[in-house]
Parts: sequence; structure tokens; C-alpha cells
Amino acid sequence: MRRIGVFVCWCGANIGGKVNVPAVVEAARTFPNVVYAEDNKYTCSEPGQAAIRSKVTELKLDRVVVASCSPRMHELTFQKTVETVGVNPFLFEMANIREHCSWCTPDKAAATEKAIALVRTAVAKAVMNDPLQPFPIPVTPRALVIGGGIAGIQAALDVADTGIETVLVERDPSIGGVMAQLDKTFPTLDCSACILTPKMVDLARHPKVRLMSYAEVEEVKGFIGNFQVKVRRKARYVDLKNCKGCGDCAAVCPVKVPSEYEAGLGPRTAIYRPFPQAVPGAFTIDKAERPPCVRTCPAGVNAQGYVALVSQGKFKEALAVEKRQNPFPSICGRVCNHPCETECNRGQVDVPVSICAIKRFIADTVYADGSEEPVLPASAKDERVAVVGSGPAGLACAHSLALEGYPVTVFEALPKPGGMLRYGIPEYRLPKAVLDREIDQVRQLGVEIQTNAALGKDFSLTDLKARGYAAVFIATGAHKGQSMGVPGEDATGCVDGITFLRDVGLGKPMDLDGRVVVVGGGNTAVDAARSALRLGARDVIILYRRTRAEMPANSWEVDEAVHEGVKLHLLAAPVAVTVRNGRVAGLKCIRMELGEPDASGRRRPVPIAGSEFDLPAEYVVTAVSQSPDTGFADGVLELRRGGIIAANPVTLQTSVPGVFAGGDAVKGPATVVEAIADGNRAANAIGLYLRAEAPEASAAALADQPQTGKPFTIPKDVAKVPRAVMPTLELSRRRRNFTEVELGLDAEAAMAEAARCLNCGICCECRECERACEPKCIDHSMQDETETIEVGSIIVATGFKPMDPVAYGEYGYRRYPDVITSLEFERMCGASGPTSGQILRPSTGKPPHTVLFIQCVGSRDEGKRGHQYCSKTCCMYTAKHAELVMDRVPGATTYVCYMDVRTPGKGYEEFYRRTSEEYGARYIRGRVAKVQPNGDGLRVRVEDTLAGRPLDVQVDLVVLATAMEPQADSMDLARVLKVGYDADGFFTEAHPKLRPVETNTGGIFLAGTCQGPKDIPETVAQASAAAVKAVALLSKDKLLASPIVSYVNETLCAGDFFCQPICPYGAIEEKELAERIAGRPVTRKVASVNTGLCQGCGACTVACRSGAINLKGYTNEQLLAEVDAVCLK
Amino acid sequence: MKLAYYPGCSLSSTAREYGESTEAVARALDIELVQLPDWNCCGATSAHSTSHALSLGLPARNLAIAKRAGLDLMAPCAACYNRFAATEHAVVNDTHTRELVGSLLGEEYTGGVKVLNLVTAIAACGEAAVTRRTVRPLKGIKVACYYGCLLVRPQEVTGHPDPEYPEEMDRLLAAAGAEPVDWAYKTECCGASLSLSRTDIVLKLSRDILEAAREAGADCIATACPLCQTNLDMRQPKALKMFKLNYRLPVFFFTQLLGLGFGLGPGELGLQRHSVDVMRFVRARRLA
Amino acid sequence: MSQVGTAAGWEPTIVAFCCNWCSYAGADLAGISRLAYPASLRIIRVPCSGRVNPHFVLRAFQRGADGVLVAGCHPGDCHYTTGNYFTRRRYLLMQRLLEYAGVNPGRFEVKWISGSEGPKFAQAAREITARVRALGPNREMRDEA
Repeated sequence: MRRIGVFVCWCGANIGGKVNVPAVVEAARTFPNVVYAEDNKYTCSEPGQAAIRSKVTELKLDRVVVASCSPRMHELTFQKTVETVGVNPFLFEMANIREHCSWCTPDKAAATEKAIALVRTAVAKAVMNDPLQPFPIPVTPRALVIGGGIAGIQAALDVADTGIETVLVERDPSIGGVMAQLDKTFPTLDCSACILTPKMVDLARHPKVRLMSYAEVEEVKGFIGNFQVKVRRKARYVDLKNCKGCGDCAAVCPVKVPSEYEAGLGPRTAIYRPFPQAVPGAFTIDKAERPPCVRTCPAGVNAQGYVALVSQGKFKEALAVEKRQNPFPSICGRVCNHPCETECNRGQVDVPVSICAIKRFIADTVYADGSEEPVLPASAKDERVAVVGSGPAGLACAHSLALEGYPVTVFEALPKPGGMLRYGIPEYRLPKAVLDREIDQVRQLGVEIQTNAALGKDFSLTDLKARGYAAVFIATGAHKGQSMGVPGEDATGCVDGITFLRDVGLGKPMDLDGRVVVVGGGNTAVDAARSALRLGARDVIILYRRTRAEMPANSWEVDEAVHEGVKLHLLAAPVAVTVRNGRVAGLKCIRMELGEPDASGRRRPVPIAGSEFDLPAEYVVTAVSQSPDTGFADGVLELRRGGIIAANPVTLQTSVPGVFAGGDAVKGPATVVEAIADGNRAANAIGLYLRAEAPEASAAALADQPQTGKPFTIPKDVAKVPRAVMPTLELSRRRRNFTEVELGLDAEAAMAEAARCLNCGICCECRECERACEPKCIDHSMQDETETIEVGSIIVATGFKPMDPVAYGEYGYRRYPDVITSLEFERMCGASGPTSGQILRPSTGKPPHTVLFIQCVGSRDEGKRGHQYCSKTCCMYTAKHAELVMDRVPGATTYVCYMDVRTPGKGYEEFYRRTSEEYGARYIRGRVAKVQPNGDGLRVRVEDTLAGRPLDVQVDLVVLATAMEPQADSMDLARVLKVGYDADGFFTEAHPKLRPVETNTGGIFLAGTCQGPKDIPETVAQASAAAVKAVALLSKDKLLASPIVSYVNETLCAGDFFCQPICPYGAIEEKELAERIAGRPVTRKVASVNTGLCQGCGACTVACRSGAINLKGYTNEQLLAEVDAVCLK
Repeated sequence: MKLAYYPGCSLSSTAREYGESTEAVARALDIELVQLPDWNCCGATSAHSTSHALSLGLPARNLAIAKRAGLDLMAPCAACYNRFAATEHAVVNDTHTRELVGSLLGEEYTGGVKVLNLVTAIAACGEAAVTRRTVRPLKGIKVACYYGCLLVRPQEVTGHPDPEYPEEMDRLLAAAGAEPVDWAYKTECCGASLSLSRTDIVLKLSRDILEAAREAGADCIATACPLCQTNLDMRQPKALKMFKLNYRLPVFFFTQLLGLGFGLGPGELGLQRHSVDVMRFVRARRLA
Repeated sequence: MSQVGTAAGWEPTIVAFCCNWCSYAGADLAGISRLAYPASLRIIRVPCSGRVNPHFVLRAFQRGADGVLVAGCHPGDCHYTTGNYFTRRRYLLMQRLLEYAGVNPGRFEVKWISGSEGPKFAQAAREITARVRALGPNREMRDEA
């Protein structure tokens, strides 16, 4: 039995005039649980409240119902009243008999009857009411500010000044935001930097502020007063603490990319500080993902690195970079098949960078002037290593092992070292002198090379062990030429390509007069053919069964061959060698056509029946294929099909521990650079093996590093530049001699060619900065780090980005250099800017006589291209720009094409008037239709909508006042923070009038342009407002949360969690419940409400099928009681 | 490629050479043109300046025929193309138009026909195809590609990626060996049908375009619109005289230039039908 | 208590569930603007239209309500961001359920009424009352007392 008191209010005539109040009191007395009822003139007045208080104490009322106005008006008043006399505020109920009754019901009787029903309803609910206690939640006294523009800086300083710890997270290397890019600020024309930079410094120095620059918020958990924020601190590759900001590093950086700070008008280096006054003042290295050239090179040679250095004329540094992965630059610079060039991004602009030629240039030049800096081997080690085979694989391996300090002996079967480099590649492509030079360099590292020592003939693997070699690397290559398998191949004058080239290499005297037919389409075939020409052959024919497109040989080699006079006989294959008295007399061939693609993806050639023909010839060279000669394996080493050695692809270890193998002997015929790659890889593996770290275990260490970093996008406005042409020996001087054909680039050509590189990796990892840095604070191996910080409230100040006006094709931005954006114009005005404050035409570098400003580019445009909103600041900054022009360019004329001029703000209208009246800027009301080049300037076509006629204005410079847009990723952040955003992507405030800096998520506030376009004064004001809101929250050690939250009856909860997805606040969590059923312990999952997150909407209660989840203050029971009462007649 | 071909009124009259060269070039590129059976006026000019209903109803009927034929509809004339594209767009996006069209045709037309102009149609065969077919590369021909307004605008109707600076005609002629010039008047207005009512305006606008082409270093102009061609070609002497200019700039249909590249004869391409003689130009460059 | 006679004699009882943030305020505004609407409509305050359990609606009909109105913020304006979306989905089904249960769906309605739409609230009240009056007393579901 409850003891309820009912107090019915006359509200003067407001209620009394329509409702028969005494009748309502009478009726109320009859309701169950009502022990007392009275009426008051004004219940909300002090006498009225006094009456309630006295009756509660006098009659020990446990619940109170007031029938008066809307609870939205006075619920709080009466709750307080009853609380003073010890009644829990939530045991109070209100019947709205004014707004919902007397004021909307003309008929007295009806009004009275409705009033009675409403009171009955209120009483019915009151009966079910339970006392509720607002519960406290603890508060982490720390604020997070996201974004380091003027808004973030102001907010952070204001919060920190109250003594509350503040963390500011800025994604760029420096704070300052867009304001730091501005020159002057309207309407006072004071210098932006002068008012901003002091604040930046204050922030950095503030004892209560922790600045996390170059960092981004990744994840936000928790709720008001208790957020856990995961922040990713991007690798700076520079030690923030020790960097003195001296700039020595930037001075040596060879990479130039457009500077974001200069709005692309000026360059910056890969290691950079956005602007001199940056905070923090430390430098940052900007790395994109590994560039395609490096990614594609089998040996991972840092092409971008040495190319960049060449562009700066730093040749010996470039050579050092090359030699990190490749000991044979001058060799590869001549014979590499350079897959790097195929992948080069420059190819998408015009033609790939001529990387290989540059590589050769570096080596040749530096060797020539002897300026190479010697690399010193590590301290000598004891374990000796044997390398079998002195081809590129063997020598590369020997080279890197020697650098590590291991004594290495190389065994070579042939009289001279170099393998295929010497005996496969003819002199005119790779002069022996060049080869010897780089082989000698390997010797100089202490590597011993024993020639005429063949494995399996002169010594065996066991011998090597016996002689105390701790590890062996086998790189014996693929020197066995394959036969065509047609009759007559043994005739004199018929030889296989490998043997032929080897004999040429060995300098055996040969005089080929007559016709030579070379069978095959690979590099061996082409080399053989071109050599044959040089040996005096009358004419040389390459016979190939597919078409030229399918020839495996390097296309440029084939071109040269044809150029030199080699004839291609395509789509034909040999059937037999015609032999006349033991000598080759010709080749019987058959024509082929291309059929279905085979395993190699190339279309399989099929003979055309009856198309045989004879090809008279004195010599036949068969260059169809080659294979490793691995007779020495004799059962010790495991082999694969085709006699190649079986080795682990990552560690290159063979079936015999300590014995490694690589190069063609493992791969079958492949390229030089692949061989070098194997050599290096083997060296690493052997090193690990000798240091008794099982190579398998360290496979990870050997495997290629995964791709990291942001992807590179090719800039839109790269000018096409022709590729450097490799000068070659003229034809007449190629006959009957093996002089090198390609002559190499000169310094000028090489540097120009290197300058074509797009720097796809941004930082080229040449490590020049590392060398230049006195305090040694550069570390290219740095990694991103994530950290979770605990904060009680968050201020979002992520700002805006200016729109890219390229969508407005009629303005010709990017197509015409003299069309720029207002931000670019700002940078032009900046004293420290790219033009050091001079206003110049990008096209001519001369000052413009007439400048036209186009307003509302992307703003106030319902079309697909723009935004409907007004960007608010453009009218004013354009007025400012117009004044700047007229101040700095004497006699200049300015036009402003506008839709409306909007100047709401202190001193704004005055400023605009000064611009138009005193300065005489010509304002034309109309949207520009077209900007076209005309003479050496631009013609702007616009309708003067006031005069009602079209105008053609001839100008020198056009400035586009581009719209403010939310950051591209604002929506993502909104989702992370669980705050709302509008159709344009700006974050939405809790109430447009009354809660402009709060969001609908408790504890998260907004500051600045991330909430909508606004100028600096407004931004700062909003920032301070947000700060106060945050402080108000954080200065409490506990928060009182409304007790109107959901709660779970765990006994009823079926654990199906239908309530979970429906909850907009993610307030429903899963909870393990341990209980005993029939004495047996069981656990089950039940829902549990995080009262810190729950906002009390009650959506979950409806989703719950078992009715286990209920909403305090609006329980199912309370509401059903109301329904029953309201329907009662 | 097989297309429903809508010649419209001009391709057999004022722009006969456009019709002839269109068919010749299509043949050369194995584009099968099936003339739209029982076609009617596209609704351009007079119709759509006098009756909104007709401006939709007339093209809709042709579209309906094409739909029954199950073919994409290709109209070389820019005006025809624009009517078809606009109607198709309206029918698809606006129920009211759909009803209107339905009541006018006496049958339902709900859209679903792909509308092409000749430039996009040929571009669809690919530049490679053009290069492959080219036997007499248009070496050293500096051509200003003039698209006019109806081929590219309005964007929501034509769906053109860059109505201010279209490039597909340039690419096609480049593929045939010509050297398209970079100029700013690609989509300026030629005065169109004001040709008769306000000749003075057309003369000025044509002059501007001719001048711009010449300043850009062009030695001829390529168009894809009968009306543009007429204004630039037929009005040229008067236009230039009026502004005291005495040069002549051949104004081709882009199909005629492609045709020359393909080694087709002047007769097949209707080269003799121009008011500003083009034969001297063609002969001087050994293209005929 | 017996039915209160007015000019029309029988007056339908309409139960209106109004969300605290929009529709309840809308009803307040209707009163403040002195907009008259039938007294037979009575309001029950809920935090959000999403709190209204179909169970409540059925209960109202059982207890003899002749019509039920559920009113909430406009879609997109929900104070709890998504509550009224669930209301919308639920009550599309509710209409069918009522039909299935033999209750004329005309007796039931969902409306979006913001805090600034006093006139709209009054209008909605008049409309549903008129419609239900035309349908006559609810005999389909009320428990015979």
C-alpha cells in the first residue's frame, strides 16, 4: 500500500479556466493508493511547494503527483521539492493538464474528464515508481585534442592552463595547420605567423601539454570520462629528442618533391621540416612504399637511390649505394636485362628512366677518376668458405662473404674467372677489361681465385671438407649447350652456341666466310649471330620457330642485330642438317604457324605439312637451350629434372648440410642479376650457417622484406622529357672487330636522365642524411608505434582542406599555369614563400598587371561538382588578396567576380568597402563561365548580372577562391569517435543553437572548421568554448550519470543478444555468469549494460524476447500501468 | 560492331559529305551500320524550340524503334545525338516524361537504348584499330578538333568526363598520324541555328573559333557536327572578310580526315562538297 | 466512470505514445499555441519512440482504446540517433499484425512530429480521431470487462 499525495494546480485561469479543478481533486481522492489530494492556485510557487513539503512530512507521503503544466517545465522543480523532505525524486510524477489538456480542449467537461484521466494515469505510474540513485562514474583527468591547427592549439592551451593534462595529436610533422600557411589575416592585416607561432611555441613548452606530432588516432574505446584512445605514432626516422633542426640532412638530400606547406608551388626534400618555425622543429623522413625499380630488381639494388644521387652529381656516393647489393655495376650497367626499367613508373608518363645506362655511367666515371671510397671488410674470421664457379653468382657470394671477413677461395674450371660473363657474353657487349677490373676488386678483398680447377675432375666435395672448408657454395652455371636433335648435327661447321661463344671468348682463331645460320631466339643466339658477323661471315640468318614478339632475347639486342645486318627467318624450324662430304652444306627447314599457347604462355608453333625448304649454309650454330653440367654431383647432391641442383629456395642449402648452391646451376639458364641475387642470398645464408644459426630457422631473415609505407601516386602535371639516347659505334666500325658497341652516357646526359626519375619511394634511402647528421639521430629502420592513452574527454579539431578545383574544367586549373587557388596565392604572398612575397605569374615569373578573383568555386553550387554551403571566409580573404595585389604590384588592376559579398563580422564590411572604394577593386556580380588563354594572358568570360550583359575581361592571373571541405577521411574519424556528421562530412553539433560545441556523444566536443566553415576568430572562440566544456567535465573527480538506464534481469536473459546490435551506443556487453544448476557448476553468457555508455533510449527493451532487459524510470510495468489507467473509462 | 544508324536530315542534304565519309569510314573499320527502319525527325531545332512534347516524343519514337531492333543507336549529327541522349536521360529519370512519351507514342518506352555519337562509336573500336587501318598517315597535319556544344553537354545527359576539354577526337586523329593542336575553343558555341536569324552573331563566333584555331597553329579544323561545319565552312569567307582577314582554313568532318588516312578517295569522302576548297590542301600533303 | 457525452455522443479513446524529445514537445507546443484537438487523445510520455513495445499497443487495444498513435522524431533527427528507424520498421509489421489479429489497421498510426510542429501534432490528433470515430468503437480486441 502506497501513500500518495496529489496536488492539482489551477495555474490561475490557465488550468482553472477550463478544468473543474475541485472535481479533479475529488476524483483523485478515489484513486487507489491516494491518501491525500488538494488544489493550489500556483503549485510551483513557494506557498504551493511549502504545501507539498508540509503534507509529505505530516502524512508520511511516500509518493507525490502534481497535476499542472508540462514536466518539461517544472518536473525538476518539484523533484527538488520532494527531495528536501526525503522523497526520492524519481518517486515523483507529473500530470500535464495544462499544455496537454486545458490549453487544447475548448470543451470544459471534456477537459475535466481528460484531466482526471491524466491524473489517474500519473498516479498509476507513481504506484510502480522505484527510488533511483544517479550513479557516479570516475573521470580520468586528462584531455585529448585531435588536430594541431589553430583550433587544436587554442583548445589545448586553454585546457592545460587550468592545470589539466592535455595530449595533442597532430597527423602532420608540425602543428600549425592552414593558419601557418597564411600570410596576412583579415580584417586587421596582421601577419598570420606573428600571431600563430608564439602560440605554437607556448604549446610545445607547456608543462601540462604532451604533443604527439606525426601521429594519428586509430581507435577510441570507452565513454565519457573514461576513453581509451589508441594512437599510431608514425615512424619519423629521426630521433625527435636529439634532432637539433640544423638542416644538414636536408642540404644533402637528393630527392625533391612538391612541398605541401608551399601548396605545391615550391619543392621540399624527402627529409624535411614543413616550414622554418615548425613545432616540433625536428626533421622527418617521408617514405612511400618501395619503388617499383627496387621492388622488381632480383638483387634488390636501390636504383632510385643511385639515380637520385646522380641527378645531384654525387657519383661516388651513387656508386657506394649501387655496391650495397651489387659488386658489379659496370658489368650489369652493360649486360643487365634491367626489369627495373620495365616497371619504372616514368613509363606511365612518357618513357622509363634509362636506369641501366645511368648505372654504367656511374661505375665507369668513378672507376676512371679513382675516387671510389674503399669499403673495409669486417674483422677477419676463421671459417674458410669454398666457392665453386667464378660466374656472377660465385663472385657475388665470394664478395659479400669477404666483406664479412671470411677467407674465401673460388675454384674455376676454365682458364680465367668470370664464367658466362667472360665465355658467354661477347667482347663487343662486355669488354674483358671491364670484367677484369671488377673481378680484381673482388680479389683485392682477399678472395683467392684458383682457375683450371674443375669440381668433379680436379677435386671433389669431400676434398673441400678435408681441406677444411666450413661451407661450400656451388655456382657452376649452365654451360652445356643442348642439341637440336635433328640428323647431321655432328657435321663439321655445325656447333652449339655455348661452345661457339666460349671459343670466341677464348680467342680461338676463327674465320667464317660464307653464310651462318643460327638456330634459336634467345640471347645466346643473338650473341652468336652478331659475333659471327664480326668474324667475317658473309651473311647471318637467325632461324626461329615463333615470331619476333616471342623471341626470348632482349628486344634491344635483336634490334641491334638486325641493324647490323643479321636477317631474321621467323616461323621456321630445322628438320635436318644437309651434309656434303662431312661438312655442313645447309639446313633443311619447315615452316611453322602458331597454335594454342603452351606452358610458357607463348603460342606453340606447329609445322605446316609439306612446307619444307632448303636453306644453304656453310655454318650452323645451334643455340636452342643450355643446361647445367652437374656430373660432379654423383649421388652426393640431390638433383632435379634437367640436372639442376636441388636447393632450398630461401636458404639455397642443398641436400648436403653446409653445401649451398645457386645461379644457373639451380635455376637453369637465367640472367646475370638473378645470379648476383643468389650469390648475395647464399652469402647471408652461409654467414648464418657458420654462426651456427640454422639457416632454416633464419629463413625469415633471408626472405624479402614485406612492402610497407603509403602507396605512391604519379603527379598529374609531369612534363614529358625525352629519354637519354645511348650513343653507339657506327656500323662501318663494327665489322671484323669486337670493339664495344654502346659508348655510354656523358655526365650531362646522365644527370639529365636521372632528373627524369619521379622518386616513387620519396625517400630514396641513399643514407646521405645519415652521414651528414652530426648528432647521429637518423635511423632508417624505425617502425610505427602504437600507444593507448587514457583520457576523460576529447576535443576534435581536425580542420578542413581546400577543395581541388580541377572539377571546374571551365576555369582551366592545372591546364593554364596562371590559374591558381587562393591558398597558392597566400603562399605567393608569404615573405618566406616560394616567391619570397612577390606576386608573380607562374607562366612568366613577372608581376601581373590585372588579377581576377573568382569567388564561390565549389561553394554555393548545388551541382554535382560543388557544395551547397557557403564557405564563409572567401569573400573576406579575397578582399584581402585584392588589397595585397594593389599594395605590392603598383598600378595593378583587380577584378572580383562574386555572387554576393558576405561580410558578417566585426570590421568586415568596413574592410570590404575599403577594398572596393578606396583601393578600387572592381567587383563584378556574376559567375565566371570560361577562362581561356588569349594572347599571352587569359580571357575571362562572365555575365555582369547587374548590368545584364556579358563581359570579356583580359587578365594576367586568375585566383580561385576554393571551397572549404572536410578532411577526406573525416567520416572515418567520425565512425571511430561515434559522433555524427552531416551530408557534407562536417561533424554535427548536439544542438545548432544551444549546444554548438558538444557532440551527441558525451565527453566529445568540437572546435573549428571540422564542424563547418568558419574564420579564425570564430574558430578560436569555439576552441575556447570546447575547452571550457572539457574542463567542466574533467574538473569533477566523479560524474553523476542519469539513473534512467537499462538493466538486465540475468535470470531471464537467454543470452541471445538481440539487444546488442540495436543499441546505438554499444552499451551492451557480454558477461560470463557462473552458477550451479542441480549442483553442477555451469557458465552462461548474459547481457550486461555499461551504464557509462547507456543513454536510456530503451530500444533494447523492445528487442529483448524474454523481456529480461528493462529501462529504469520507464519500465514495462510502469508503462503498462499507464496504458491500463489511461484507457479506463 | 553493329549499330543502328540514324542519318537524320542533314547527312543526306547540307552535310552529304559527312554521310558519305561516315559510311566509308565505318566500312573501313568493319562497323556495321544498319539504317534505323522508318526513322523520323530527331526533334532538334524547330521542334524543340516550339514544342517541349515534340522535342521528347519525336526522338523517343526513334529510340523505341532501336530498342525493338535490339541495337545501340548511333547518330553522327551532334544535334540528333543530343536529342536522343537527352530524351533517353529524361525517360529514365523522370516518370512524368515517361508517361508523356507513352501517351505520345501510344506505346510504353521506358528507356534502355545506348545512344552513341560517331566519335564515341569509333573511339570504341580503339585507337589501335585506327592506327592499324591507316595506310597514309596524316603526317604533319596540324588539326584543331572542334567538338561544339551538343556533343559533350550537358554533362548529366552525355556523361562526358570533361565537357570543357574533350579529347577523344584528338586521340583518334592522332592515331591516324595527325598532330592535333591544343586549343581553348574545342567546345565554344558556333552560333548554331542563329545562322539564319542572327547571321551577324554567327559570323563573329565563327571568326573567333577560326582565329583561335589559327593562333593555335592549326592548318585545318575537324568537326563532328553538320551545323558547326556549315557555320565554319560556308560562313567562313564572309566571316573573315567582315573582320578584314584573308586566309582560308579547311573545315573537315573528322571522318573525312580518318578516311584520307585510310587511303579512301576524295570522291568517297565527298571532299569536293566544301565551300572552302580542301582539295588543294589534301593534294599538297599527298593524301590524294 | 461513464462516457462523457459530447455533441457527437460517443468519443473514441486514443492513446498517443510520444517521445520525450520531439513529439511530446510538439504536443506541448500545440497547447502553448492553444490549438484545439479532441480531448479523447491522451498522451503517454516515453524517452524514444523506439521504446514503444508492440506489446503496449496491443495492451491498449485490449483495454478498450479505440486508436493508438505512436509519435517520434523525424527519421534522422532521433535524439538517440537510430531509435525511430526501428520504430518505423517495427510498425510496418505492426500494421500487418493488427490486420491479421482482426483489428482494423486504421486504428493505428505512426507519425513523425518534431518539437516545433505544434500544428502538425494537433492535425494528426484530429485526423486519427476522425478516422477512428468513423471506424466506431473498438470491439475487435477489447477484453469484455
